[in-house]
Amino acid sequence: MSTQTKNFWFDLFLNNYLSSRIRKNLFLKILFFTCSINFLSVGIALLVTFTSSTGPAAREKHREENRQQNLAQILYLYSTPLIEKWISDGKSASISHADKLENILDFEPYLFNSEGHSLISKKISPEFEATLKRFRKEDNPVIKIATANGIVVMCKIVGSDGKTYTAAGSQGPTRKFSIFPRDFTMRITISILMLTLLSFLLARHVTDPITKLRKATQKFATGNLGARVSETLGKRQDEIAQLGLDFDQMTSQIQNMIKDRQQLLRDVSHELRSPLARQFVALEISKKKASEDVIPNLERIALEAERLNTLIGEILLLNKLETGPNLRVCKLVNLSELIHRIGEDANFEAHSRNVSVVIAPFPVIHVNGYPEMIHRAIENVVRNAIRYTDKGTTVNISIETKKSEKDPVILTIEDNGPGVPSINLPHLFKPFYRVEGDRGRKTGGTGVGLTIAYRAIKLHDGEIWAENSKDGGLKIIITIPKKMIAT
Amino acid sequence: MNRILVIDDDEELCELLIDYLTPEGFDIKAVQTPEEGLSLALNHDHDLVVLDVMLPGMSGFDTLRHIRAKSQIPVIMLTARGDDVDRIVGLEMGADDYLPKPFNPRELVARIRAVQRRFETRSDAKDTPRQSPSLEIGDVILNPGPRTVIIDEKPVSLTAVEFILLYELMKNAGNVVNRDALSETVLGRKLDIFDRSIDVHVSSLRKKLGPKYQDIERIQSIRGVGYLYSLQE
Repeated sequence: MSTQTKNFWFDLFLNNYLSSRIRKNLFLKILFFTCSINFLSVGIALLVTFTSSTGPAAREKHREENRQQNLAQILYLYSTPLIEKWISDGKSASISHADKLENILDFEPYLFNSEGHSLISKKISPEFEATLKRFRKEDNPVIKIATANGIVVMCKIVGSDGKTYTAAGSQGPTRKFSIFPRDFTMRITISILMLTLLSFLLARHVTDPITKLRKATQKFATGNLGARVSETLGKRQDEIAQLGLDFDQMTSQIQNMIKDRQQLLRDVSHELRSPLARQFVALEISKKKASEDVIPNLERIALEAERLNTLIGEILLLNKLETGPNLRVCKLVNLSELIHRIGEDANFEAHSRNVSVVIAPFPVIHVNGYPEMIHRAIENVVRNAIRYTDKGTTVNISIETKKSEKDPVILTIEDNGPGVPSINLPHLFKPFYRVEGDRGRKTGGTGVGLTIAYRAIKLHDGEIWAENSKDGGLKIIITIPKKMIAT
Repeated sequence: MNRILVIDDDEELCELLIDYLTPEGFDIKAVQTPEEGLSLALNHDHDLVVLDVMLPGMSGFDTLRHIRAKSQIPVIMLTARGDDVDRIVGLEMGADDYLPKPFNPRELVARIRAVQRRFETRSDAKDTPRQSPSLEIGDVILNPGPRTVIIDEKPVSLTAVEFILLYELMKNAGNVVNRDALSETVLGRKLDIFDRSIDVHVSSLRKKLGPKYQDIERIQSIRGVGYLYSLQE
């Protein structure tokens, strides 16, 4: 194997890019293997054809023999009357007869008497004459020779006078037949194209529905519970189509389960509010009638009722974030204004803990989304930070943005508190999750604030995660795309 | 002015409200079905309606639509808390104000009083429109006394909130009226960040006033500040 071909195969199979593409792509895999099989079959078919007894090479040999045979036959037919003419009418008659026949012949005729004199006027090359002399001495009645210039046939004919005449004919080479059929290149090109096309169709037929199934699965996994696949698979009835049907059945069952759960949660929350509404009124009536010393207890009941109400409200909000809020409220949000407002409000609250919120300067930024949801998300994170930062420290908010529309806005909210053990970090955004040792609830909060932030940011195709900063505090990073991908 | 009709299917809540509101000087009538409430609201025996959104059968919105088809009686809607769509729909359909449920009854009293103030004829109050002369800008004539608005010689039916809103804007025609200030005079309260009540009222007022006059938008929005009633030349 030469170095060049070795390189070629090396490139084809071991080249990282191509082989990894093929390895990772079912379509390419099927296409590659079916094409390989097809080309191999074409190769074998060609090999068998060209080497078989009916193949072009054998046919060519056969044709050449036929030609010699024919030439000998025609030479005989041509010479016999000419010899008779010469015997009966002499040389000039035979020459004129030969001239008449000349036009219909496709070979060069030569005719000699037993003494070696030419019966018709023809020049003879010395080489030809040598062959002729040799032939006359032999006993062979006929010889056929293939030369570089074509074929030569010589035969001995016995005339009516009993003498032996020698006739010879030379025919130029036949047009060289190619061993390949005339339109071989076209035929091969067409068949390779057809085979490649068929391979392509086969590969697509197998991988297309798989790709669709995969897309639907991804959609479902990212929260689009309405993702279905069977209607996109057309009229197929094979195993893949059945897989699609099974997928649809599974997703609709999951969707129903989630719907039921959300419905239950919503109904329970709404139902809880009716007694709460009555309690609020009853409390106010009692407060009017109560004596001084009972008022603090009633205030406490009112506070707890308000907490319960807030919690119900947050659970309902979470529920709404899961089902996707009304698109009517989606618009351009001035993030800078929003953050400064949150900062002001939070500072007011933080004051009682001797804590302050510091916002690093940043340019005016707009994002596309649900203003109330973005507000809730950032506010909840900031409030959480105020709750956990140590007394007398600051909560720092900083924003990074790049000019490009594609780059998201990156918001960092960092407190100076104790931080969170790193094993607990991924769970911070789960509803009602509390870090061990924080059950005391002195820090307040309903337990779903960060979950609301998480869902609200996810709704905007953004990301939110928590890290411990180097100085020990908790750092929450939020990214919000400037434009929502799906609206 | 203290006869209040409460339409809410929670009978116990209604009883408690009667207990709470009667000592405050209100005359409360509470009904549980929307049909009953609708006929009572339309017979002119009441001055204000407190209407729950979630009612059996005909919803609160349908009831409101039926009331608004015949009467401009002030209506305060009780909506589910956090449901911003409910509250916008209610205001768009002509409710004067809303209160998320569960509510503090003191808040309800405050809202009722704020709506009532727009109707009261107190001679000592300077800002009551009743004593003011009528205002005329372009084809719009506003008569504070009989509380009528005439556009192009045709009377237009406005709710109490819409009337006071138009009065405030026309009084300051050519000047921008701050959104927060507008909310305090018209609704009697400050707006939360995401409270779009004033904007919803302005937009229904725009619809009722009809198309542009002499190619000028009657009420112009000044982004981030407030609204301006255009002076006609």
